[in-house]
Amino acid sequence: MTEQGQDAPEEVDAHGWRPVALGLDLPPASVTGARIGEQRLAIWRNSHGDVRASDDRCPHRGMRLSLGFVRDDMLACLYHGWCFDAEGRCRTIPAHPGLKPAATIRTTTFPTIESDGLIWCRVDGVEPPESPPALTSPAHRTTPVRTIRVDAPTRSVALTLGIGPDDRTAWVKLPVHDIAETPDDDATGAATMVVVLHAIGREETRLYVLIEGDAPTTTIQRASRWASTLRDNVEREHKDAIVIEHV
Amino acid sequence: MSDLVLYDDELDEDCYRARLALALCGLTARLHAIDVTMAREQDAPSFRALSPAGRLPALQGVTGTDDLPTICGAMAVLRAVAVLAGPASGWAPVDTGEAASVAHWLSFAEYELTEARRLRRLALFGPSSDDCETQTSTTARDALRIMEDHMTLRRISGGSWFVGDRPTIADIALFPSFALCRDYGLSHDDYPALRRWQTCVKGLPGFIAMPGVPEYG
Repeated sequence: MTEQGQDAPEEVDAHGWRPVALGLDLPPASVTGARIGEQRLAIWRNSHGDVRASDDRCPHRGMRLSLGFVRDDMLACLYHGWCFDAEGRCRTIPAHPGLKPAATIRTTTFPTIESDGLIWCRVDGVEPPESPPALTSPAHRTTPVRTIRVDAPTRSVALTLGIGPDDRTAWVKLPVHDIAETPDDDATGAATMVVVLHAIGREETRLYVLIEGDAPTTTIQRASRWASTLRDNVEREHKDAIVIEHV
Repeated sequence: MSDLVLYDDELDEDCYRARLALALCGLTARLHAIDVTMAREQDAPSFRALSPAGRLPALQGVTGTDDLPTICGAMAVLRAVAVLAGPASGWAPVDTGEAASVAHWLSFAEYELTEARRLRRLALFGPSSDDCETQTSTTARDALRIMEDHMTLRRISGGSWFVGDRPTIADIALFPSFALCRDYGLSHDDYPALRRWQTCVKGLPGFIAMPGVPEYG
């Protein structure tokens, strides 16, 4: 059941911003891979906490930069250690320590914003004057729960959660008492869970789970287990649906 | 105690478990390479005399007497190395609950991660006679998911390791299967909790890498 009750579930026009990682899952000086449509991305954070996004391809040999590492606040390729700065410009080539790399050696970068515990990125080339969708009122902070991958189309996940199926990104709010493990379990209080969906591919969805405001550890763990169960249920139903289609 | 000899195959993940355990526990063993490719030295009578099932890794020199066997298999070697490191090292907890949990995860590494080991071997070295034709990564993926779900709950409650407040041989037993999962086509991006834990393991004093496991990241 959604927060809106029986009404049409809330849908968000993401204005081109797509969620690419939970901020918590990208510690300082680390990198992870992400995908928006066909665009593969290396999302990385420097030691000061700033997040950057780059095309996931080293211009040298085409190696995926998301397999690399962050060193000296630059994104380094695992293959030959070429280092790229925040603007995507190659600054260091370890095989030629004395060489200052030409300004033309660079990787494409994309705008990112961190808000509500999520890292957002856009790859549509539109200058981004507006902010990503606000998941919660400015007075609230969010408590991140986890990222979870579901091997099923986003449409299947959305249907299970009661979200409209069409948008590439959607999110839903669920009262945490919906995920109580026993009927008389009221330890969860009135907390609200925020679940953000992102289609990675046709058969693959990423869910970002957060809780509005602060939450006790037991509630966060419960939300994490709820997400595991949701994943398993959606995948089972999706698999059954495929079997029926083929009968 | 006599000198330790580890019978080893550099690219085998179970042998890496043994090398990593020795390195993290600050123990030195002489490495004796076993050529499992063309020479099939694991089947040679001289090696079968040490490891009757031809199993790698095999650790010689722990028992100190000739009538006790060489320690064969990664999980047995991990336990042996933890005993050599001593109870104060914490690698094998003595607390009842933690010791039981470590036993649980060693068993998990032995059985639930079998498919992960097999898929990697298949991806890197091709099929062997005991491989069936239909391959699926679902079983391996499911095992990593169980690890990810566990480490997510651990992270939420402030834990960094699979069991208790310090690294144990459970972490060593599980680490290679995640660190090497790209070898058979699974991405680390889907396992943020395991990635966080991987960074902790790589930061341990004495950590060593292997081909396919970068030192950084």
